[in-house]
Amino acid sequence: MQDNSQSLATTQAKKVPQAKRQSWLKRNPHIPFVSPTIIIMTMLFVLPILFVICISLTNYKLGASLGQIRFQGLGNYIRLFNGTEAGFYHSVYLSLMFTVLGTFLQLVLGMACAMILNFEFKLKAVAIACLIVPIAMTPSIASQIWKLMLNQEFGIFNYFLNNTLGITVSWLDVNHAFISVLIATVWQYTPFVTLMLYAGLRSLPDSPYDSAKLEGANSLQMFVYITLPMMKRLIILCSLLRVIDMLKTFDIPYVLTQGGPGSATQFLSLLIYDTGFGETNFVSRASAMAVILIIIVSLLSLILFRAISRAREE
Amino acid sequence: MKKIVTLLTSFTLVLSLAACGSSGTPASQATAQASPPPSEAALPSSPEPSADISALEAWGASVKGELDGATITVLLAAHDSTTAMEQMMDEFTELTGIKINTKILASTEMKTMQRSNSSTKTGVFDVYMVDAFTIYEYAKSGYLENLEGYLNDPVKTPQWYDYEDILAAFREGIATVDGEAYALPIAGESRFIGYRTDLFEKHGRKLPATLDELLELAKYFKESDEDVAGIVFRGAGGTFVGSAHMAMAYCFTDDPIINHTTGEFCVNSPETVQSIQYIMDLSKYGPDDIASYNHEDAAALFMQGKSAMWFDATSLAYMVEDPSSSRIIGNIGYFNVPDGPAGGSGAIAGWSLGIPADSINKDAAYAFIMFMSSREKSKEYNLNGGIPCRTSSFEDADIMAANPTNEYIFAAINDAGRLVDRGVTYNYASPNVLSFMKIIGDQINRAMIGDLTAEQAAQAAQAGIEEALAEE
Repeated sequence: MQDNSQSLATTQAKKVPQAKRQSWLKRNPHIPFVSPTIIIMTMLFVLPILFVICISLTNYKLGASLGQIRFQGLGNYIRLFNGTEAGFYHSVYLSLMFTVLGTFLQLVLGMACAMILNFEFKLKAVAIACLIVPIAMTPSIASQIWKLMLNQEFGIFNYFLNNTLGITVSWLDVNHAFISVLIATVWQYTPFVTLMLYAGLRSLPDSPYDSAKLEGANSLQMFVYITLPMMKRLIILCSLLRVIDMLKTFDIPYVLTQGGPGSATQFLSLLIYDTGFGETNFVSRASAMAVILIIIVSLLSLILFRAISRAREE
Repeated sequence: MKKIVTLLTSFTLVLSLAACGSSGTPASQATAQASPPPSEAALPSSPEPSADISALEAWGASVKGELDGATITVLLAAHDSTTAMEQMMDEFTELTGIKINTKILASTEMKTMQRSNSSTKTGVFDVYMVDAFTIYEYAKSGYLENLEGYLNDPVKTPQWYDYEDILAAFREGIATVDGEAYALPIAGESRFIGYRTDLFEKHGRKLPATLDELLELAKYFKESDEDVAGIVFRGAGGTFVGSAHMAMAYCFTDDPIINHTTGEFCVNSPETVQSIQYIMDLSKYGPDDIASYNHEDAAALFMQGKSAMWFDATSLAYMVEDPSSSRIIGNIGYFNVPDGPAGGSGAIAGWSLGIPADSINKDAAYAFIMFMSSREKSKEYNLNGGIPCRTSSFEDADIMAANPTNEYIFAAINDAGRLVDRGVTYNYASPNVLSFMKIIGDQINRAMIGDLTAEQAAQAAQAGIEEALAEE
């Protein structure tokens, strides 16, 4: 009897750990399905980021042999923040300013276009198809076209300005290069925001609007007190996506201005490229700047993620 | 648990397979890992002494006998000479049995790829197209094979190659380091100034004999009622305006960047400051946004008839002479860069073909270089649009007739030889020619937009160069 009870206890003891493992898998049945993605993401994102961090702690220059690489600790970061790296603070400032202005313009224009699309009108399908064109176009090709259009001497912009207002603008000089890059970027990515917000508008219920109309609300009031609050999460999500993209913008300013004239459009991404691959080949310094950019993007993303969470709770 | 382990192991193996697969980028034409041909390792590297290689066909048959089936991968810059070589690649393959994979990139990206591949000895590429300004860096870093052995081998370098026919300025100026050949020139260039013959005739202006007269001319046309810029050139930061400045800097001093006697950098010398000031003054008579102009923008402005003069490389003359896009065909003339206080410009640049030291197909690569840069094939190469660099090319009536600018190009190259007569090498011996050109160009660009004076730009450039040297 005692043997049977001991045997039963042993069996039950053996069964308990197995039950716990099964229970964990049952509690997390999604793990086998997301594991491939996690592994790929680790290999494609985490490992390269770790690699960049490691390089940023050395004095590596492209073309140097392994024997010439020396550990420098935080030397590359110190030179960024103590002013030794000329143009770093300016580039960070330009990138942030570009991000704020560009995101704001894209949201405002995107919302305006989405509101227009929300009405029924003839050739609406054509309008939506036209919106797809900028998104589908390769940014570097779009930049080449903008460069031709913005040319002071034979660009189409100055052709119309000259014929209508009698003025000629030097679009790519030191005073206007930043605005030109901003215009090209807003043109390229506003349709993306438009389509996202349009999808959100289409999913809004009609009942709040019906109630508001009954109570005598006008269009502006309905937009401010009904549409915007209901669209808040989607607007913040759009902002998040655009902020990340704007901070790391490269192709449009690279083709349009190469970061010039002077440093008028030398965004942080361009400074990183210039430092690491623009003949000077200071890859380690460029890596340090890239790490700073990752931190800036992560911080802003965190703020916006929290805003989305708060909006969800409301 | 077993199932999870099995699943994870399977996925890891699948990812490993995916990671090992090679892929091509949209920018590349065809890229493949170079693999040693089955015949190359087994056979001796030179044909038998009795093989007749005095004629191209016989040489081709001899090479085919050894290297048939070999595949080489060539890394080339997007350039007219590359286009000319591409038209000859099928012929080369048919003649020698050596297949070619090409990868063509813009100049800066190509150099980045060369440096990253050679520093890690990947062995992917067998032929490099080498910028004149990187020859010293590549040779001293061990990226390129020393070609002296190949050149002195009468079997590997047949008589019809005619090494001495290559203009001395290019042989020694863009492909040789410490007197030894590390590459063989394929395209040579200098700098000259294109001008609107119709405008000059209309206004009764003569060609300038000095830089001061050039400045006066630019000012005249800018202020005239012709609605044209006085002159246009590469004004964008980095190597764009850096190369434009370097092309004029030797007019002010024999040592604008480096003292060729002491080896010390002297960008902040009074003469170099003068040369920077000159570029700034010249830019005032260009288009308002010249500080953002690369070579394509400058050529486009000139050929649209919006500038009276155009200062750039001789190898870009084909752009402004293209009848399908140039609006000033028939109204273009050229003259050499006028003399400055110290004399002529002496600008020499170009491209060469070299063999990466880590190549595993060196003999096949050398056969490719022989074919493409030889005197025997130079006529075909030049008529295909390749940039000439041989004396015989400039003496060939057909080649000169095919491109009317060749006469002026030859004059510019000959004029550049005067710098050599002064005992000065234009392309100074430093592995940092391009990076220092960028440092200088960035500061000149800032001065052009008014952020700095010429003196400040020179001092900033000197400081940047000294800092870079201190880190080496």
